[in-house]
Amino acid sequence: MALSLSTIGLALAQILFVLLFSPLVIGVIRKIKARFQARLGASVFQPYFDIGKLLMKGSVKSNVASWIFELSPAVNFAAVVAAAAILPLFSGEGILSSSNLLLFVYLFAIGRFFMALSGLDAASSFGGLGGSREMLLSAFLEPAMMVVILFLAVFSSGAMDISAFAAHTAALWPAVLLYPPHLLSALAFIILLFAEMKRMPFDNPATHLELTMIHEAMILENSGPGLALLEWGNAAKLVVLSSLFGIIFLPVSLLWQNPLLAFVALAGISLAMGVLIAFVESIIVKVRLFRVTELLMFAFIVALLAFFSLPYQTGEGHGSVVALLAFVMLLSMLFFMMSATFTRRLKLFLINSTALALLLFLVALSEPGVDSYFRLGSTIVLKLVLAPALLYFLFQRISKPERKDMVEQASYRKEEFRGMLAYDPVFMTHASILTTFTIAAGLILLSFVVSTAFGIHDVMVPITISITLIGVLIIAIKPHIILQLFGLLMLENGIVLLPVSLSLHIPLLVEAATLLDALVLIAVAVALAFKTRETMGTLDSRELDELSER
Amino acid sequence: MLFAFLMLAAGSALSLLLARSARAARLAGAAFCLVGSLAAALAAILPLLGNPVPVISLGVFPAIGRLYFEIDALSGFFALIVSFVSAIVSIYSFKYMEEYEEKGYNAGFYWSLLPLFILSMLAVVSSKNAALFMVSWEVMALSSYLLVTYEGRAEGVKNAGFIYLLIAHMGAAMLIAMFILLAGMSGSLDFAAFAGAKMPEIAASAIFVLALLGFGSKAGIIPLHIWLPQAHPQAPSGISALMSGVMLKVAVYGLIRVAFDFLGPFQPPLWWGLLVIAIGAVSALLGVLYALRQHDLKRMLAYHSIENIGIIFIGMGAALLFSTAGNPALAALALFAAMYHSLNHALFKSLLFMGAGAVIQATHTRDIEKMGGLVKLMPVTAVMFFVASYAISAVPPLNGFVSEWLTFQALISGANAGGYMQLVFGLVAISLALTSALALAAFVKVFGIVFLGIPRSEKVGQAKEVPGAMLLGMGLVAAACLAAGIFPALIMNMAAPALLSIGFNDPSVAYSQAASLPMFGLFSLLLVFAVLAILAVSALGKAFRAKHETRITWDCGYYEGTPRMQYTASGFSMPLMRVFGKLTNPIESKHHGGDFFEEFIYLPLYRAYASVSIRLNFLQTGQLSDYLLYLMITLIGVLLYALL
Repeated sequence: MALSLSTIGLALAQILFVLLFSPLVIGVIRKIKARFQARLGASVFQPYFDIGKLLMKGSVKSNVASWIFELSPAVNFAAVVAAAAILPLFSGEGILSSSNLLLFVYLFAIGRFFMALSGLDAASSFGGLGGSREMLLSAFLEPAMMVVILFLAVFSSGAMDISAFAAHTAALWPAVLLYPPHLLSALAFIILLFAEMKRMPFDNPATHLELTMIHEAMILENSGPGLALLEWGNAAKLVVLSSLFGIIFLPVSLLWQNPLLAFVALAGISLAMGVLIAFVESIIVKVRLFRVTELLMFAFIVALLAFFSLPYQTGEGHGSVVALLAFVMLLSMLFFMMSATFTRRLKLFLINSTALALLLFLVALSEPGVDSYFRLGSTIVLKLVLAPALLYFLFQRISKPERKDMVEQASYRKEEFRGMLAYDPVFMTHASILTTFTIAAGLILLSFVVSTAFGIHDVMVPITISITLIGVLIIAIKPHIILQLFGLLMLENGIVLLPVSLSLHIPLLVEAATLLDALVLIAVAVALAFKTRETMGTLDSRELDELSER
Repeated sequence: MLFAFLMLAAGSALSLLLARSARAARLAGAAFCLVGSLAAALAAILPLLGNPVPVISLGVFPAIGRLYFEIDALSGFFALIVSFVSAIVSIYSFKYMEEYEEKGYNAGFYWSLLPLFILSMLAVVSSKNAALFMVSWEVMALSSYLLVTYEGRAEGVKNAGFIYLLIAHMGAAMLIAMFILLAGMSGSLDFAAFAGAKMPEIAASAIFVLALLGFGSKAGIIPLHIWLPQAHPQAPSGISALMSGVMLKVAVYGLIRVAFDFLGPFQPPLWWGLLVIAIGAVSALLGVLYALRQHDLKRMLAYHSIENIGIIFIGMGAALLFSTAGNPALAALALFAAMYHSLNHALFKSLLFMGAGAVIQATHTRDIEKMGGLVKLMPVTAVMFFVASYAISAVPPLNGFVSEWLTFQALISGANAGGYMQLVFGLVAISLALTSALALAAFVKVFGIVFLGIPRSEKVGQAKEVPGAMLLGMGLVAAACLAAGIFPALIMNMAAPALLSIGFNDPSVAYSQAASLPMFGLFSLLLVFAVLAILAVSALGKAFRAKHETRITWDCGYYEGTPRMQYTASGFSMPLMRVFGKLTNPIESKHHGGDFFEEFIYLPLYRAYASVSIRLNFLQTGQLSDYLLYLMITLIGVLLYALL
C-alpha cells in the first residue's frame, strides 16, 4: 500500500490514460450526435486538435478579472488529475493509504468552488448566472450523491473505500446484476453523472445561449490555454466518473490482476458512457432550469429506495426479478408525477400495468393455481386493455378546442407560474412537483419504517405500500379527473400486488369481487366524467369547485 | 496558568487606569492580552502532551467546598482554542480599535473588558467547582454583553444587547438548576464528585435537558439562536470573532463536560442522542438557509455560526447514539469529529469575522450589495477571506473539510448499524450533505460579491488595505487553517488525551476510522503539486505564445459594463431561495431577511407575556401596605405548605 515506486507509476499511468483517452470520448459523442442530425460530423480525433490549437493560442483576459480567474482553469484541471491519481483504476492499490469515496467526491467541490467564483470575477452577468445555477444543481446533486455513498457503504457492510466497494461487487458477480438496490443506485449514479457533466437534459454543452446554459456561462470569459485546460479537464472528468462507475457497479476489479485488461475494460466503459450520452442528447431536449431539479430529485428518490431496501430480502433469481418489476412500477409512478402530456402518462401507466402483468406471470409460474391465473388474466384484460382504452376514449372526447382552451387559460393564470408550480400544458397540478416528490420520499420512508416496525423482511411489502400510498398522492395532487383516474388505477395495481407480496391466499371470490369493484368504479367514474363535462363544461376539479361556489 | 490569569487581570486593571490616554490603554491592554493568552496557550498544551498542570486553588470554603482551577486534557483542548484565538484578536484589535477611538469611544473601557472576557472564558473551561464555574460563566456573559454594546451610539446595538442579556440569563438559570440537581445527587459542588455520582435515570435526564437548554442557548442552537444574529454583528469585529469563534465553543465544552464526563458512566437513553442530533441537523440546515438570505455581511456570518454549531451538535448527538448502542469506538470518532470541528470553526470563523471587520472598516458599510472588486483594492485581506471561505465551505484540502469528512464517516458507520439507526443516520447524513452544498453556495456568493467584479458603490471603490497588525493577525489564523487541514493527525494527537480523560479509553479501536487521517497530508501535497505543475507549464507556454491581451469584459457588443450589470447577491441566491425558501419561512415574512422564529415564535410569546403583565398591573398599586399584605399571604402559604 501507499507510497512506493509501483503505486506512483500506476498513478502516472492512470493520469495518462484519463488525459489522453478523454478527448476521444468527446469526439465519439460529437460524431454520433452529428450522425443523428444527418451530418457527417468532424473526425473523432477533432477534440485533440481543438485542445492543441487552444493551447497554442494567445488569450484575452478581462481587465476586471483577478487571480481567481487566472487560477481557476489550473485548479479545476488539477482536481481532475488528482482524482485520476487516487482512484484505484488498474489495481486495488493506490498512492493514498485508502481510496475513500467521500474524499474523491469532494474533489469535485474544488472545481465547483473555483469555477463559480471565476464566473463572478469578470463582472459579467453571464458568469454569475452560471455560478448561481451551478449552486442550485449542486444543492440537489450532493445529497443524492450522499445517498449513493450511503448505499455503497452499507451494502459492503461499513466500508468507505472504493476498492472495497469494487471487491464487494466483484464478489457478488453476476448475481448482483439482478439485485434491485444495486441497479437502482447505478441508475441514480448515471443520472447524477449526467448532471455533474452538465449534459442534456441538465445543461446544453453545445450552446452559448443564456437561457439554457450553466457550465458554458461560467467559462464564457475564458480563452486560449485557459479554455483548453477547462475543456480538457471536463473531458477527463467524464472518463474519471465513467471509470468510477465501472469499478463500483461493474466487476472491473476482477481484472485487476492484469492492469492491461482493466485498462481495456475501463476504456470500453468510458466509450459506452459516451455513446449513451450521445444517444440521450439526441433524443431528449434540455429542460427548464427548475425542472432540472425535479429530475435530480427523482435520482435522489431512486437512490433512497436502494438505500432503504438494503436490509430487506429481495429474493433469489426469479424472486429478484419480481422485486425488480415492483420497483419498475414504483418508478413509473414517480415519472408519472413529473410528466406533462397525456400520451406520456398513458405510456407510463401502460409500463406500470405491464410490469404488474409480468410480475403476476412470474408468480403464476412459480405458484400455479386458479387464483394466480385469474389475477394475471384479469390484470391483462382490465389494466392493459380496457382501462387504457377507456381513458384514451375519454381523452379523445375532450375535443381539441377545449384542450386548447385549457392551455390558453393556463397561460394567463400568472400566479400559477410563480413559485415552483409546474407548468403543465394540459393538466395543471395543485402542488409543485418538488414538493410532491418530497412528500413521496416521506411516504416511501414511512412505508419502510412501518415494515421495519412489523419485522417484515421481504422488500415487496414496503414497495407495495409505497405504490399504494403514491397512488393516493397522485389522486390528491392532480386536479384533473383523467389524472385522478390514472392515480386510482395505479393504486389499484398496488392493491393487486398486496396479496402477492404478503403471500396471502385470498379466496377467489373475494378477489373477483374486488376486481368487479374496480371495474364498476372506473366505469362509473368515466360515465360521471362525461356527464360532468356535458353540464359543467370542464373536468378540472378546481374549476368545478368554483362552479359549486357560485 | 496562574501567570496567564494574573497577566489578563493586570491588563484589565491597567487599561482602566490608563483610560485617560487612549494610546497607552490600547498598548497596555493589547500587550497584556497577548502575553496572557500566550501563557494560557502554553498551559493548555501541557496537559495535552501528558504533563499535568499545577492546580490553582483559591482555598476551601464552607458550603461551596474547594474552589480551584485545573486544566485537564478536555479543558486543555478548549483552553487552547480560547487562548489562540484570543491572542490573535488582541493583535488584530490593536489596530482595529483605533477607528473607534477616533469616533470618541473610550479605549480604556474596551481594553479592560477584553482581557476580562478572555479571562472569564479561560476560567469557565478550567474551573472545577460548580460555584466557580457559574461565577466565571456570568462574568463571561456580562463582559461580552458590555462589549457587544460598546458601540452604544449606533442603531440597534442596545436592542441586540438586551436580547442577548435576556437569553444569556435564561440559560444561566437553567445551568444553576442543573448544578443544583447535580449537587443534590453527588452531595458536593466539586466536578470530580459529579463524575462519579450515581443517580436515577429521571434525574440524569433532567440534568441533561437543563444542560442542553443552558449551554444550547449560549451555543445558539435553533430555536434558541435568536440573540446570535443580532448580537454578533453589533459587536466590534474582534469581539464578534471571539464570540462566534470561541464563546460558542465554551458552551460546547460545557455540554461535552456534562453529557460525557458527569453523565459519562450513565448509559444514555436513546432519546438524548436523537434529540441532540435532530437539533444539530435542523440548526445546520436552517442556519445556512437563513445565511443565504442575508445581505448584511456580519449577520450572515452569525447565521453560519448557527450552521456550524449544528454540525458540531450532529457529531455530539452521534456520539451519544453510539454510546447508547454500546459502541465506544464510534462514539469516540463522532466526538472527535465534533471537537475537531469546534477547533476548525474557531479558526475560520474568527478569520472570517476579522476579514469582515477589515472590509467594513475600509468600506464603511455592511451591505454586501454595495461592495465588489475588493480583491484589487485589499489584496491581502482578500486572500485571507478566501482561505476562510474555502475552509468553511468544506472543500479539500483545508481544515473544514477534514472535520466534516470525519462527521460523515461517523454518520455513515452509524447507518451501517441497521434497523432504525440506518434511517436516522442516513437522513442526518443527507441533510448534512445538503447543508454543505448550500454553505459552499453561500460562501461563493459572499466572496464573489464582496471581493470580485467591480465596486458597486463609490465609497467601496475608495477602499484601502488595512494596517499590518490586522493582516498579521489574520495571516496567523489562515496559516493555522492550512495546518489543521493538512496535518489532521496532529489535531488527533491533541484530542486523544481529551477523549481519554472522559472515558473513551481504547485508542486502538477508537481511531480505526481516523487512522486514515495522515493520508490528507499526502493528498494535499498531490493537489498542490498538480496545481503548481500545471501553472508552471502554462507559465512556460505563455513565454512562447503570441498575444496575451487584457480587454474589457464581453458585454454583447455594447459599451463597457457598468457595476449594475453584474450579478447581485440576491440574484445569486435567488434560485436556491426559490426552491428552499419555504423552509426558512413557512409563513410569508413581512420584511426581507426576517427570521421565522423571531417573528412567529418569540414575538407572539413576548406579546402574550406583555398582555398578561398588563392585566396583572392592578397588583402593582404602589402602596406599601398592599405589598406587606402580599408578603403575609405568601408567608401563610409557605407555612401551610410546610404544615402539610
